[in-house]
Amino acid sequence: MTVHPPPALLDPMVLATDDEEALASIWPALLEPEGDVAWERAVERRRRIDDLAGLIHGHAWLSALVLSAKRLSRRHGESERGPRLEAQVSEHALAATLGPEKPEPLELSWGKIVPRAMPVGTRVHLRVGISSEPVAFFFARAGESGPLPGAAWELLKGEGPVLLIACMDAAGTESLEEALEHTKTVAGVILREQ
Amino acid sequence: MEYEPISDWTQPARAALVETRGAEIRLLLDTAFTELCDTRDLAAFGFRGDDLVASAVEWCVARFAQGELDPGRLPVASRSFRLFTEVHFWLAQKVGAHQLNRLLQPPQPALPTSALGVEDLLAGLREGLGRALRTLRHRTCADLVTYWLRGSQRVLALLGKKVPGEAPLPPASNKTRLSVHVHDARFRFQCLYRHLVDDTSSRLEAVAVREILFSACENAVPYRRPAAEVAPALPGPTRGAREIRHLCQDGAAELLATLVERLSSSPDGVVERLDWMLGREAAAPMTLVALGLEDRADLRLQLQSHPSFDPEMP
Repeated sequence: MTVHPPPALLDPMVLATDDEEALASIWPALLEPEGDVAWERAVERRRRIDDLAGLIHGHAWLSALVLSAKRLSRRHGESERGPRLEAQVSEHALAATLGPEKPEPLELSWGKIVPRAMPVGTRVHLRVGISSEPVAFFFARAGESGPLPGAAWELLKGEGPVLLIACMDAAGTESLEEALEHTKTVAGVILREQ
Repeated sequence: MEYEPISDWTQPARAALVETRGAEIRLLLDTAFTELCDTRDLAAFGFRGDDLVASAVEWCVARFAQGELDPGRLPVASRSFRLFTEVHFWLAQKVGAHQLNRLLQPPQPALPTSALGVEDLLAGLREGLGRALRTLRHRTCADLVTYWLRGSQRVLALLGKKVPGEAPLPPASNKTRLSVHVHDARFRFQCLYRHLVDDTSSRLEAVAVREILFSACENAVPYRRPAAEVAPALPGPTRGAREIRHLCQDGAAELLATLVERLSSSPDGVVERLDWMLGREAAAPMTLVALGLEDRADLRLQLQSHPSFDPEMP
């Protein structure tokens, strides 16, 4: 059975920057069983990277925070997995009073920060499962960061990307910077206007 | 996705870029390396430390800021922030292109044992299809390769002698749309595989179809270059988008007619039959929809008079 290269190493083919001779054998290998799956993963990986690149472009503060969070999570490794964490997404802030619209949950993973495009007016509420480890919530956007009141955020027009982040074992810290120094792992979502 | 171009490649300018945009550069590199780290040990590429991804990122940043880089040897699209997402480039910088390609070569698949003694022919067919697949990517976009691979699973299963099964189609929200893309990909693949696209002709139809359907395009629906963008490539007076689209349709109709002609009889040999089956799948009524040729009754009749597609081997 053919072992296909991981998505990151199929990237030159996805980008059409591959060398015709050097990588010639990889193309026929895609015809083998699971080749279509390997290719699809590589295309999806490229889409995720392109999306992130578009999101962080020109936002040094966001890049620095996400990078810190990624390195922090790697430092503490797989052992630091916290309680279940989800972001409840309400399509519109008025939904609670206008009708029985069920909030849509978005499962978050410790150690990961995911981007999500949402319509203006969307309300995102971070909710954590039962945990012995205290979890602190923060927000960050261009030129501003701090504790996340009520662990919820309503996306307003023109406010650009907003990072909502949960820091495990960082209760009592008053700023995001301080929390990142104390926490063992983080999870978060980057909100942007759809 | 348009990445910000990097225009000044002198060493001081690159160092300054790291100084001012370091966080962004590092995050792009970190993201690109993280997923590789999930499947390959970065230590095999000579990176050391507790955090191998961070070590790789810092090595790349230092290389970019201080090393010798010749932008002339980079693809145009890579002379931009996209370079910081291209793991292959940085690994080649680290271990050398030759060593990297050696590491990347997949093991040769075990060819199926066949009583017909056609292993070499099958290997030749596989190689030819692989070459055409690469051409499809270079002359269209990544998603069309996905659609072709998905849409060819039944025949590829016979080629690899694996147990035929259902193609791993995703839960399609719109099956008709999916089918259209698959047929579009099959058609374009066959045109390239069988060298039907005339790259030298200056006939308006040939130029229009070449520029719209067989030139690298954005990896997004409708997976073709916009008519307005290709207008300068057409000889003669400036033409409107509607006229160019009609020219492209006429060019596609000519190619489809040629393809159908080539597939007019079903061959008997195993390899020839597999080859024919892949072609036959590209010439179906849905192909007319994919190419905007639904009203071409002549082509529809031609397609219907074809030998029927039989997914069983002779």
